[in-house]
Amino acid sequence: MIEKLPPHQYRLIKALGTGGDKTTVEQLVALSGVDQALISAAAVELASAGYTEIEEQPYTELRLGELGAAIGRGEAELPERLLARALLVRQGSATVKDLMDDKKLVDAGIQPGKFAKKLVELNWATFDQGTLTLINGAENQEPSACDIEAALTAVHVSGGVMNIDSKSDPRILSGVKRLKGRKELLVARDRSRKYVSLTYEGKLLAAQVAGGTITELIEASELTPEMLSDGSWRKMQFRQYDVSLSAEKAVPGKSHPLVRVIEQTRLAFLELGFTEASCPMAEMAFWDFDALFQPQDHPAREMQDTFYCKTPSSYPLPDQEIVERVRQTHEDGWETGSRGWRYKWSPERAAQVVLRTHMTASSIEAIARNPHAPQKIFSIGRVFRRETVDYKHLPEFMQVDGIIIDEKASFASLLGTLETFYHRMGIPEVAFKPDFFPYTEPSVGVQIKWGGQWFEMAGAGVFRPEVTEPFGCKVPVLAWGGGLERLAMAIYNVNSIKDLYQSDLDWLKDARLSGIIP
Amino acid sequence: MPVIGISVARLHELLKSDISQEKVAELLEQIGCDVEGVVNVRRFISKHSDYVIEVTPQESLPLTDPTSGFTGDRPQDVWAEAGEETVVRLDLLPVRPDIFDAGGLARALRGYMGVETGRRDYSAATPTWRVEVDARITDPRFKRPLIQCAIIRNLEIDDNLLRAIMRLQENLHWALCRDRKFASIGAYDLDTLENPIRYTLVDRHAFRFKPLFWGQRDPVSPETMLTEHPKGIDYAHLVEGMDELPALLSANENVLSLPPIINAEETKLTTNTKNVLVDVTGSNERVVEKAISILATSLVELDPRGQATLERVEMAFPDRTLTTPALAVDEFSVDPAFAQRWLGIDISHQDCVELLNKMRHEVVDHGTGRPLSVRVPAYRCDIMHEVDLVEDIAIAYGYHRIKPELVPTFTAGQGLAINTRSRQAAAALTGLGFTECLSLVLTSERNHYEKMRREISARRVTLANPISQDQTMMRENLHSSLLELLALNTDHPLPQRIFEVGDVVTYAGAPADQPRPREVRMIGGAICATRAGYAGGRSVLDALLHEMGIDSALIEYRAEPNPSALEGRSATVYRKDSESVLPIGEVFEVHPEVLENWRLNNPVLLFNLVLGDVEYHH
Repeated sequence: MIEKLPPHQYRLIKALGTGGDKTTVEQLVALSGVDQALISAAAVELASAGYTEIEEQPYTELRLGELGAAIGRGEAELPERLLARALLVRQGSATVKDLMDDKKLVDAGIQPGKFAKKLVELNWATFDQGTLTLINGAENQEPSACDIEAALTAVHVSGGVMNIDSKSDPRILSGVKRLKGRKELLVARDRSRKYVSLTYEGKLLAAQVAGGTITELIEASELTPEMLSDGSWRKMQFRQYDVSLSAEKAVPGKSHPLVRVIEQTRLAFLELGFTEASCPMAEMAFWDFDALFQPQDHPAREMQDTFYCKTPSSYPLPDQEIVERVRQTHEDGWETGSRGWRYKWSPERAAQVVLRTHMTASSIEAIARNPHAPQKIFSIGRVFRRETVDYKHLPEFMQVDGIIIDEKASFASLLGTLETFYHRMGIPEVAFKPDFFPYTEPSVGVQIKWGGQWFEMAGAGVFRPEVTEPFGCKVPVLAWGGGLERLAMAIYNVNSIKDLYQSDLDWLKDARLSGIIP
Repeated sequence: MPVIGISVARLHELLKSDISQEKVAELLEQIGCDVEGVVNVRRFISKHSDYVIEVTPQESLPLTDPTSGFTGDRPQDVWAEAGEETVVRLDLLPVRPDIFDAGGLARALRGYMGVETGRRDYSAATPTWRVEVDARITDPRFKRPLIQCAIIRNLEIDDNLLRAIMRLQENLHWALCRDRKFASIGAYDLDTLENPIRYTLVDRHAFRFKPLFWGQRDPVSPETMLTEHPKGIDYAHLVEGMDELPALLSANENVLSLPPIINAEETKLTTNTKNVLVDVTGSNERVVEKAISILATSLVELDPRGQATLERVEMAFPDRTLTTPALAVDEFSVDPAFAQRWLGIDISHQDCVELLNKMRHEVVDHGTGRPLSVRVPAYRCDIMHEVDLVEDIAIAYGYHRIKPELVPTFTAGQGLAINTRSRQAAAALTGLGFTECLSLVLTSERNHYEKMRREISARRVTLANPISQDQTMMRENLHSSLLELLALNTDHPLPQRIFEVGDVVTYAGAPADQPRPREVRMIGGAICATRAGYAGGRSVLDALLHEMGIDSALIEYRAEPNPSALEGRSATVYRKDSESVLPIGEVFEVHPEVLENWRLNNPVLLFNLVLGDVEYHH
């Protein structure tokens, strides 16, 4: 047994009780004082409960166009009629060519050729080989009013706007049909009207509402500070929401996806007991190349691949003893047991300023600062390669580089460290294959599997004695370096590296903090 | 990295073992090759030269034949179909030119598979041919004084082999000889030549010869060849300024080649060739020696019947005589105990011997507990220290079999304070609803100064070899980076609130004689909205200063001229230290002219704060 109805439903039932059968929504708005959206919603709610029925009826809304309105006011004539009159002046018959000179037609902007067919359709004239002849024109009789004029008149009489449906006057209907596309005369829009009526159960409900056995439920839409301060919330009923509906989109301020990967990388290495280091972006070639036993004629050092600085063009070389050992190691291996590269090493080339091409420069500087075991060091920073911008390449990208200086370090512990690092980055599958780098031996390429695909992620190896011994480091040094963009691109499903640095704000706001879970 | 296609059929033939295509690809990966895949390629021969190209199903035919330089409107004007083949495509491994061809690869794989191990002795025959080197060539003023030759006899050359030799030559030129800068290579039909060969100089204008791929045209002078032949045009820079050019001539007046540019038509290799002479000329002794070793041994390896033999050539220099190829082995001492420690794998003395044999080295075993003597074949370019052989041991063992472990030593980690500060500052701005962006450190004078209405700084870091006019220098601040990002996002709804934490490079405050600039970490932000006033930026900067622990009593906002700002809407933030007052930040409404320069249609407010100098270590 219902005792109370929510406000809009209550008012709707009440309005239907007075409005009679088949009440339009517009009428219900007027009767109930509830706005259209809410009364419609109430009607739908009650219909699903079986109290009301909603019927939709199509109709056409007619509005006079500018010319149509003028005709209605008697200030203008239908073009067809003007054309008929022009024929009458010419004894009921004339060629289109003749009619084109008619001043009245020209003034009204009527092209006789265009309207000749319409006169035939109205059964006012015949058209044969360019000659238009008015039926009954010989009797000097103007055609009687047509359905177009009837329709225009009807709309004018009802104040310029009129609704019709399939049951309206057939003459008006045919006039409207003929006027299709002539917006200057008449605009017709298809619309529909909703009627709400009470079912049998609804009528019983309406009787109870009218009799006062069912009353209106007093409902609040939201809790207010006043309700809390005066305690009135206790007497309130709160409207229940449809919680399945969506709400307005909110976007938090966020860190950049690549920065998140960088931070995750820092955290992983810090957790593994690594100390952080870095080095200058505008770096001496000595640290970027020579100290890493990269010969001065190595292709990577060519102007084609590495950015050289015009200003500053060189830095003072470090400690002379160190420089001398590096020189000898390049030339003949020094005391390292190596054959060396066998060429004449140039201190000028080593003093040149380059934009660091890898963070390994930071690793070797760390060894130069302190060559003693045990140490674990990592460096993250922007590195530069002379690449033109495309979807895979930018002249700048982020790299992480790490070293372990340890008596007990080995190639196997290098693989283990890398595997552990990638596991911490959320990547379960890591594979290793032989590779080549001038400063490590053995060298290894590190691949990770993400979303069913293998990606080349990093290069690693054990530093050659030619790299470490000139700095007084006699124990194995494990080293690795890898780009972070590729990792970020995999995790955030980015196709072009450009998107990370020349970003679309929509994408930045959209990129989830969690990344893509594959 | 160039990609090479190795014929699967040829490789199988040379492997002397019947294994599947998949297995071959797997083994190649294990020895360090980057296998792109096994594909069917269609082969086309140029209608204008003998040049052959291979095209994968994804590739389209070029409209130009690179050797003759002929260009057609349609591919069929240039190329004729010449069959198809299954190839395994590999990224060229520049450090291992000895495995650029099917012969060298098969040699390595046979060892890895254990089919044929140890160093192969090519037992070259004593010389019957002689090359006489002109004194003008060995003159110190001449830049390419070196030459080494070899003869390969009883080689059955078919289409496939001819192509393989051509490819090997191209790849060696590229990777080992650095595009012919260090050395260049030639191969000739020995039976078109007469003993002795002369390495001499010929006149740039008077001399006549018919270069390779010259078709039916008349013989030309070197000068004409250098200006009209595609290869001549490509490599003319190597003989620039020389009135006389180096040439290899046969006693019967046949021309072999004009190194380092091009061979002659009359002595070229054909499918009728049985005996081959190869030469390497150049400036770099190590490269010349490696190139002749690789070329000579790979050609022997490429012979599918295994009957080709090597013959040395006598090289008569004005002051000495050499017989080449020397194929000298290089001997290293390798301690198995060291290898075991370095690699962290459990291998015995005997394992080391076997693994080195698999890598085609010759091992002299002096007994357990004593280091091995390892003789490295002459064709290997990458062995200069014991550790290089330790790597060979690791590869022969198989990286996939190594059990990853961790270093047992404890160390305490520590991050750089500047990075911790950076993330604190970023957290403050994300909390205020700003979106973090990243941009490039490289910028241009146009973007960094002109568009910002600023004067170009006299001291800044500029590039000697920029690759784009947008990246010619390192940025001094973050302003132009932020505006550039807004300019990319003009269709994004307003308001836009963005920031970047980035490094800038500046000489501000540096003494004039200090070559190193300061590298400074900054945080900078922008607000772009229909109304973006000074006050809004000021409150953000105040919040940032507060969160970064900078006491407001130490802060002073001063009005200072700022050409990028609307006058009277710009402040420089100073921090009062015990002894000095330092500028640490800025906040300003961007000048409308600057907005126009960036094609921005809405007001923008910019702010920034110095977080500190970039730290390099604790």
